[in-house]
Amino acid sequence: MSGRTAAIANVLLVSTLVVPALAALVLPLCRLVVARVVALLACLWTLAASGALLVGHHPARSAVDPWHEVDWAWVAALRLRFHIGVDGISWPLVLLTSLLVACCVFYLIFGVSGDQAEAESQRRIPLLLSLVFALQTAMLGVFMSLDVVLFFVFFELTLAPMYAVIAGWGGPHRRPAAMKFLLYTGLGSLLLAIGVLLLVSAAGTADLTQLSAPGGAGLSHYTQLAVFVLLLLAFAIKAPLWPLHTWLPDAHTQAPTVGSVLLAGVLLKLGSYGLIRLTLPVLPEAARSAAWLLGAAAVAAIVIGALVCLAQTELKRMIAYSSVGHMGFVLLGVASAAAGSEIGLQAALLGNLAHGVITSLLFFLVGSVKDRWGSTELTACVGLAARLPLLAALLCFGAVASFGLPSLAGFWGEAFSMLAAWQQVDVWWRLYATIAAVAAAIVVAYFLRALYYLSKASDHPTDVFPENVPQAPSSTTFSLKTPGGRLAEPLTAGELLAVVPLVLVTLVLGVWPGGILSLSAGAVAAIISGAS
Amino acid sequence: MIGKLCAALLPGLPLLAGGVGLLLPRSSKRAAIWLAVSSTGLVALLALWCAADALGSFGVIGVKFTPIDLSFTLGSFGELDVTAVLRLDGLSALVASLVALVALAVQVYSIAHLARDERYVPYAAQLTLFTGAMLLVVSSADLITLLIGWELMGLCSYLLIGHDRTNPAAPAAARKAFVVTRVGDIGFLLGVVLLGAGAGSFNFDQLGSASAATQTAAGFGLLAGVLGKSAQFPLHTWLPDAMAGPTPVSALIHSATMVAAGVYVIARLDAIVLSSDAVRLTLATVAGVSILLGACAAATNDDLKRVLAWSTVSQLGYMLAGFTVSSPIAPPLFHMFTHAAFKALLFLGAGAVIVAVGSSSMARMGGLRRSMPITAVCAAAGLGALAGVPPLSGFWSKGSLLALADAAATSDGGASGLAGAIVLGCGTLAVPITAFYCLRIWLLVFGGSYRGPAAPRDSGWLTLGPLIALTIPTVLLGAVPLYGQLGNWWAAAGANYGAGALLPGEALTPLLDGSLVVLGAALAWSLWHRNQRDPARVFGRAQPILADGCYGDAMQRALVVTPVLAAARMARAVNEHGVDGAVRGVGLAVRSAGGVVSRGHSPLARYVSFAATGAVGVALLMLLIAGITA
Repeated sequence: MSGRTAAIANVLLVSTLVVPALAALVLPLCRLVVARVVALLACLWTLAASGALLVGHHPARSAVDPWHEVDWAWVAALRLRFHIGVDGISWPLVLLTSLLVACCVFYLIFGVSGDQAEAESQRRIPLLLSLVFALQTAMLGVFMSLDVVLFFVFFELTLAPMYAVIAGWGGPHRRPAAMKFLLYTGLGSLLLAIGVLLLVSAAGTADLTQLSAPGGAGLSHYTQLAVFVLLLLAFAIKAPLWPLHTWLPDAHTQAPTVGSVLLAGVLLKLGSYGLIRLTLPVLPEAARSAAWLLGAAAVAAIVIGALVCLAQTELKRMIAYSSVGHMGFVLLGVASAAAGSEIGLQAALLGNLAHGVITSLLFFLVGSVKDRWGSTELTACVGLAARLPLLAALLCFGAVASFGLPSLAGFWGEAFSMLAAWQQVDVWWRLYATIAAVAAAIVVAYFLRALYYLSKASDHPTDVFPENVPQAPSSTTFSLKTPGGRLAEPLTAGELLAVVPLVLVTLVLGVWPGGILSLSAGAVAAIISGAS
Repeated sequence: MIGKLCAALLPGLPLLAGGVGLLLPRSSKRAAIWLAVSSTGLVALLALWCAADALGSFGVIGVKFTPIDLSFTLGSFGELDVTAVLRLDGLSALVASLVALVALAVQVYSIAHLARDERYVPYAAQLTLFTGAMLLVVSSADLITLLIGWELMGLCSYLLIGHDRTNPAAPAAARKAFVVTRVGDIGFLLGVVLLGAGAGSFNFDQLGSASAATQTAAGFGLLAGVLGKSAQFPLHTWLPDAMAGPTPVSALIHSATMVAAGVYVIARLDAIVLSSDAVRLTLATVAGVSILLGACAAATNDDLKRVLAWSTVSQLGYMLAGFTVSSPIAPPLFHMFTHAAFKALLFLGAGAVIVAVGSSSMARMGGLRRSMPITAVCAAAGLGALAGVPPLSGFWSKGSLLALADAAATSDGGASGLAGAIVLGCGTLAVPITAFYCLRIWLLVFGGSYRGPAAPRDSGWLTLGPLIALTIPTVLLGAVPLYGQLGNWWAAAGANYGAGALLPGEALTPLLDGSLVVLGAALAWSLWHRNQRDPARVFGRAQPILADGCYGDAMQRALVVTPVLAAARMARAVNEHGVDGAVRGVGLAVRSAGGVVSRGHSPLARYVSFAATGAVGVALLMLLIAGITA
């Protein structure tokens, strides 16, 4: 690559952090009209720049072999360097983040139906947009960091804006949910801080390129284990891995739509990405010895996540919980990767991406249901398909993608993490794969249960759980909250703009996963071979 | 080149047309009709052309004896390449023409049948997609493509069974169909995973390199999926309920798609699936049970569509049982062909009758031979073929299966002989029952005098046309030399699929079958002719139990549904009170500790106090670790 293109690439790279950061600073000062323009330009620029980073990509020769990187001294006293870059493992997540933020921005600035009752929320939109951009800066920072201290700084930076989004724009029980999110994932950050400091002081460097050299950071066995346990706990809370997940359903259920989207679509990925980027190549020995445990926890997450979803009575909460199971599949892939499977790592990366796209799609759609029907209780959604056929069809698509229909994005990660587990010639791993396959059928059952309510015509809902029926809000409760005319209001331009790209990505990833897989193949091979 | 194009277009064209159709607005009915019928028709022509070529008449495409593979790499997971392979060979071309022709008949029939349905546009698109998914199964030569078609078909059947928004039973039936088949697909998915992991490839041609143990385990897994899709015991329970879907959909599901997919997969992969005696015997037993269960339930139900659904369970049992006694795959496939023709005919006829009468209960029919003469004649041909009356098509196909079972039972020892005995026993026992219920259907629907309120009459030509078109193969498929050609082709195509001798020349079996048919029919007639009462009363107190399918639903509920739901409830309770309870407890403790440090009420103050507490914690922990590592 010539010097000039490299310079342009570096400008683009830095701009993906600087532009959203500037937007976050400027937006609260803007009037609504100006804010819309600023937000639109910022998100489109970041999306385009993220996409453009693909130019000049090359197969990785080592675990961290970035396509483009910037390495500046920052806080010398802390040995903190501003070292960022993208490679085949981080670029898809960078693009995902920019895409989801763009979708959120579309949703916020084009999705409002001009209802006079929403004037108050309109006035606060610039602030919400600002928080979304702050979040984007932090999230992109995590994915692009090539310095573990910088990684931690960005990781920690995601907390405050997300807390504010939930606490400021959430549902009726938003404050306790936001606080739970902050404290719980804050605890994770704390553990991460300790782990990172321990790692840096033991290895003598914070540079990921050096830390990820073949054989790992060269730490002693016990130091590796100590760091690994700390990092694993930190990332397991974020991902979240059962039983450290209970902050998630509350946060999701209370968060506004864009909050849920970014939470499920990107924030959870920080956990799985951290495991893949920080633990596998840096602490290979510890990862290998803990692989079976991680696998067992992942399978427990898959099964329990599926069962809990089957017993949910509320659509948004069900989708929130479905993340536990889906991330369980991702972590099963990571666990197999820790045991030495390239297939597992590829499956985890792809599953990560697919979950980000599909669950975000579902959260957008559920948000649309909630805006119109006032409630996402399953029993209150009866008859939705008859009134809003397009929304119901999209929900059906999202559900089908989420339970992993082959030919849609969700399938590859799940099937191949099972395959990777099965390939560990060991009866326990084979049991993991079998249990995961059984749980995958329960996933189908709970999504179809939800769709069953949407497509029912009857006004007398019955449930497989009889005790749930009396709790259903009668039609009058929610028609008071929302004017009757909104029940059948078609999807707005903003909603469609947010949803259609995600549908397309789901289809493309499903039919042709090879594009993404080939980008990460080199780094994956290096991580696995470097670990053995 | 042209061959590869055909290989791509066979599944590609209907999938594309279905996808486009889904995007059409609800109002553009004409465009939907045009798109669905023309795409299905084109594919039918294409498939027929390929089949004719494969059978050796033209030799234009060059399919004959040399399968054409069209492959593209979807992606590589580490060392494992996922390559989609579409294969055009004699088998796929023949089955594809069957699928496309029945689908065409169903599409044409649907125009009139759903004339007043405001959701016709998505319906037609889903039907096209359904056809495309089945054709993808038929064309696939690797497990991933197969799985894609397989599950896509499950999804389309779900959408189509749940089509009727006014029928309160439809959403539940649709869900049941998808969930029950998906339970079987746990095994199918695992089978795919096992073979992929064991053979290092998903290509059909390379699966044999997996170890024998893997093949056996994967065989059981794939078999579970097949039992789900082909509605075999104990995963048959979705099929009778699926009658809540529109009748043309039933016609397609029960003949050339869905249930046929299971048969086709065994035909394609019999070297893997049936590689061990354990799988072979399991399949023989399960199919034997399904043959009898389906026949008995069909003989005792009152609902016309449910009777036909149960008879599908029984007939699919014959096909799958056929694979366990016959090493060439042609005889069971031949039964799939004849069954597809007469079962599609019967369902379309039933749809016409149900529309005319306004009910699907046979108790409200009767005497329709006068008001619907053409339908009556077509139905007689279909029922005759189903019963196995010579010389209709069903006689030849079912007879050859029983003859093969006979040969296996008498000449083979060990597992194969045992399988033969099971199949022969169940299969022969079901012959008179089948004849009984076939005559019962005709007598209750078309015989005697009319018992319902409406004034039925024969439907329009858009309905009768497909009926008549399907009657032709129903009558003639046994007589045309297709069977011989198919056999010759297999024999020539050689070792790939284990071709061998076809019909054992046993003269006794057809005679025995024929007399059993007469016996069953005579029983039905003698019970009916005096007072025109339902001959099913011969079953006495067992009738409601048999009509219910021997408590299949209740058992499924007690053994699977209830335990899973109980586990779900428990998981939720443990999760909310146990896991989250512990978290909240810790949270409360922390909060009270934080309260001591800071009296701040704003979130920011709390965060700061929390961070401060955390910082102290960090320092302590670091000291601790430093102490350990030093």
